[in-house]
Amino acid sequence: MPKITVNGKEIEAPAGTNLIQAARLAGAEVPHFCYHPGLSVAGNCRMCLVEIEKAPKLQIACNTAVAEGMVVLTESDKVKKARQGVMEFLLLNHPIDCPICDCAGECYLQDYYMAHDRNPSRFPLGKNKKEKAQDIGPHVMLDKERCVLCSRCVRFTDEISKTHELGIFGRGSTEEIGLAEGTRLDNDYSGNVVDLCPVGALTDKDFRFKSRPWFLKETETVCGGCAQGCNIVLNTNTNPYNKVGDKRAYRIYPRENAEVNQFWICDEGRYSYKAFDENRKESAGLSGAAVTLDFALERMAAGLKKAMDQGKEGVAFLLSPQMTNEELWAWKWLAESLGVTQVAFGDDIRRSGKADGYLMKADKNPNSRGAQDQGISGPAQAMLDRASSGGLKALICIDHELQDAAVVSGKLEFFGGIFSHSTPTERAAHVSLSRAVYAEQQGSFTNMHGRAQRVNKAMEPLGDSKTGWELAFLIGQRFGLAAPAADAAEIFRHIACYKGIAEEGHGSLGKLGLSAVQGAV
Amino acid sequence: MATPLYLTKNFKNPAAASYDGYVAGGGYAGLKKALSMAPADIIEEVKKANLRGRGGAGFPAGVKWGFLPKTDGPKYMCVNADEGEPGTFKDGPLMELDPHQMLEGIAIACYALDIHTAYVYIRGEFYKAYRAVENAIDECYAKGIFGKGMMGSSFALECRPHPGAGAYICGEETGLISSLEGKKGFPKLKPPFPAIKGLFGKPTIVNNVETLACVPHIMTLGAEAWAALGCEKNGGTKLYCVSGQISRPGLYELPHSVTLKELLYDHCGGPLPGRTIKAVIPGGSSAKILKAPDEIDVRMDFDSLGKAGSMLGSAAVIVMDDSTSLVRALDNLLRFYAHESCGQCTPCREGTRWISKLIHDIADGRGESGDLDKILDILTNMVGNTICVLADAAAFPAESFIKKFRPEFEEYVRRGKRMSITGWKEEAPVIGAGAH
Amino acid sequence: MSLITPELRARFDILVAYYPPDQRQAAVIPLLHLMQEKGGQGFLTAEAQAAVADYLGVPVVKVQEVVSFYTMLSEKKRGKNHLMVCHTLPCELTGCEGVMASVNKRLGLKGGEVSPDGKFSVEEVECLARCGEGPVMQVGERVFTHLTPESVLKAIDDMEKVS
Repeated sequence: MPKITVNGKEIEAPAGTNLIQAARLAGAEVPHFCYHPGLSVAGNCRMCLVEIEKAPKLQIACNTAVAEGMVVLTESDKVKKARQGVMEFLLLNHPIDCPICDCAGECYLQDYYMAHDRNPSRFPLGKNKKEKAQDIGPHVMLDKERCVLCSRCVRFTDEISKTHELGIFGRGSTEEIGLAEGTRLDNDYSGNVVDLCPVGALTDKDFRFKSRPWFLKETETVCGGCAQGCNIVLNTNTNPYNKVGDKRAYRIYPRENAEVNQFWICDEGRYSYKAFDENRKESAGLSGAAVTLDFALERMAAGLKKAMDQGKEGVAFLLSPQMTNEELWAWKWLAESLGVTQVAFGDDIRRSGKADGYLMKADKNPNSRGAQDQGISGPAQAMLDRASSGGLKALICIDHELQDAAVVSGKLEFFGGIFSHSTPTERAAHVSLSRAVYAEQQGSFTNMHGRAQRVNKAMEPLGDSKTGWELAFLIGQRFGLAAPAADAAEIFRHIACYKGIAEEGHGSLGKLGLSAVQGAV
Repeated sequence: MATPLYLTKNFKNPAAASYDGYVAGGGYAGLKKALSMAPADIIEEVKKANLRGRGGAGFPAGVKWGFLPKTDGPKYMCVNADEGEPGTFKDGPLMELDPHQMLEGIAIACYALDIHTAYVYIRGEFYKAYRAVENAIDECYAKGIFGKGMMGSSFALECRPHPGAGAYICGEETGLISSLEGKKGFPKLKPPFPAIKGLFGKPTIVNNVETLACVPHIMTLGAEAWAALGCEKNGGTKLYCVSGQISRPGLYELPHSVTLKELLYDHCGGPLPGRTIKAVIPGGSSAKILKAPDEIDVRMDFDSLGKAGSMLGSAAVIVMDDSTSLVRALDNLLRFYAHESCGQCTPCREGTRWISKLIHDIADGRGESGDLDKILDILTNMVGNTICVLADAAAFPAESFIKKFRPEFEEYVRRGKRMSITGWKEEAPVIGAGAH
Repeated sequence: MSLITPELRARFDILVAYYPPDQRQAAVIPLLHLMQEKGGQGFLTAEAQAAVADYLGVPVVKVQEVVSFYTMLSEKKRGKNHLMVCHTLPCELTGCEGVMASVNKRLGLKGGEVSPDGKFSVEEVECLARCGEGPVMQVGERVFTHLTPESVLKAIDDMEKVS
């Protein structure tokens, strides 16, 4: 590995590393607008100019690879002057409308102005006028005046989504970003351009004017939208003093994970946060009417007991690939403890949808692989057929939508449901409990490639909702079973197929489980 | 002074535009000779001839050729015929009046470099030149120069014309490559350099029309004789484009050793009647201005002008006499650069427009005394900080005009009214640096 | 695709063959010139740009970017005689301002306008590379040199008669 010196500090960086990355290894941040590790190098913003010993001119760090013996200065007077110059140039035609800009607080121009410029404007002349608040697609708004022409969004639509909707038109200082005539920014990954935009030129219709970013809590977690398991940050705000209304989740944006989603997320996943609180089931129910959790638990235990007394083969648990590994393990534990043998997670009736060969997977559940890894049986149709034909006495269904819920409910002596949201199947259940969504839980999902990834709790369970494992333990309690674990972390240590991971920890990027390491499944 | 002509010797012979006419005048003898030589020897010959790239940078052509890797697989020759540097008008006539001379140069260069595809990127406005080159290329295919088996050898060369569409930046070699690839003429990041990764991502040599037009003469005369026509490190004759306020503007082929003073007074007849030459841009609008008479006794070769603090560039000599308002002249040039900035790099996109507006305000009589220093400071944030040198090309005239003729600029600000570009002498007595 | 007539298509096919088969985009500018000149409109409509993009298999945004970048390619209608009057330094030193004033007085067209009869439009352009013969004006393929405020009017009169 080449040895280089950055601001007097000697470091080693892998060959091919550019100087923005290498400087980070030495603890120096080189400011930049156009550079993005997930896109080709454009080198146009000129913000990352650094001084390299023996080079006659300043060089852009983004397009300079480390070389043995290179001596780099990222904070010399020459560099600072150039940076200040670039900031001044960028601000010449920028409207500086931060008070009404949605990006304020997470804007590179703002941050860099404070860090590298702090000079008054020397440009008294009229700024270029360009179109503002242009609706360019289902999710994105464009303000051409705020654009710094870094071309990140254009490169994204060329290189990643490969949909080519955006371009930079004209030339010189009247150049502007825009849509190709006759098109809209309407592709499955369009929201990423908002994250990519270093300024407030591209903003998200869903998030616009909903909250200032500094009011939001950031939770590193994993998208529950499909089996890919894209790494995300979930922004929430539950402080009633700095928001309006009872909105809790505000947005999802991708978190870098080279092994899973690089830097991106699909729009389906991005906007999936809206479903957390939409049509939410907040309390336990008895044939649709709200009851206390204790009462419902009592009735659920009684229903199960009555059925088991007639023969345990008449009882079945239909688990869900929506559940975390910890929830699945707890229900497996409950089934084994009670002697219930018919357990499935329902891979034949699970949610499915669009797949695109990139990040979007047809399996719209985050944890099918986790259920498989734990050895839970997949198909549920036979179980449901038995229920509809009267062959089952009791069924507990967790977060599945059944085609003929009313028929199933009518044939069963006891139909218990555990649901996060209010649905026809939930309402058809004799007794229902409300389950916390994954954003309200600690736990883990295992993506389709066998990577067990940490799910972190971003907000408290709504109403009477509890995690699936808490509910399993509470039901077990009604049968005199002691809870086998105190929290999700302890449960995870019990899961045999993830043993190594439990010992080392998931890390922020997740780890492959045994089945993936051994190439099984 | 009768200088033997090489590059322009066919300019008064319309027949030379055709293959037969060109051959009748000794054309394609250079190629014939080249084909009898080893490719490496041709490169060596061009190095020895001290042929400097005539697009503007003056880089030794043979050395540039030497950068091309000797790999198999596609390699390209791009001929830069996107003549657009203000004051320059040599490549147009070279193509219109003697297209085969350039094509012969292309053939020799490609043979020497084992390149089998050449594109001639011709400025879009040059309809006549495009047609002349297109016809000449067709003739070359018919006469066995291009296509399979060059002059009966086993060497194959495809050569095609390609039109530009109106963008100065496409004269920059990587801007030209982007444009040839069908994109906006955005210059590319270097490294990688075109010789390694150029057109279509393949090794590429970009040469100016005039550079290639010299090559047949190097072959026929021999490197030493060609070198001897010029001066040290600057071989051959050179085309000088003289424009502006001068008695006989026009295109002059002269030895590289001619001085600017000789060019202006001996060849171009000196200033217009009753005027005196005040300042000269010696190498296209991007070159730093020289004051007359103090700074014009300088040899018109790449190195001498570099030492004199300017550059030979495209050898476009723009003459300004004592009637000229240098504020208005600079206003004109900076408008040009603001218009032609491709807009890719921040300092150029914003900087060229900003300094242009500042100078324009001064030219309109709305300037302020601090503007000149402001411009000089803005320039320091532009120069050297961009992908290509357009920002530098705008900054050099700006800086040199203001620094060398500051009293005139300050006088203009004081007067606070717009003046005619050629009305400076009448309207405002020049004080200080500009006066003689 | 009907915008590309069989004759035009035949010429497109020839030009595209100049470039490697996987580099069809290289033909964008030559094809746009043809489309603009021979496509019957004298300028490039969105449909014409899309047709070129489609023919080449290039994203339409890349063609639109190119059209917006180069001064010779126009998305707006131009006069039958599009007067390109050079106003760069050498031409300004030799009197292009007077020439332009004369043109403006004669035609009275403001920024990009086309004369009501469709015959003229005017554009001040940067260096046309005929600096030794300034002031210079180019109209299509014709170049007028050593112009004076008077001679440019004569040139306009001649164009008016012909078209």
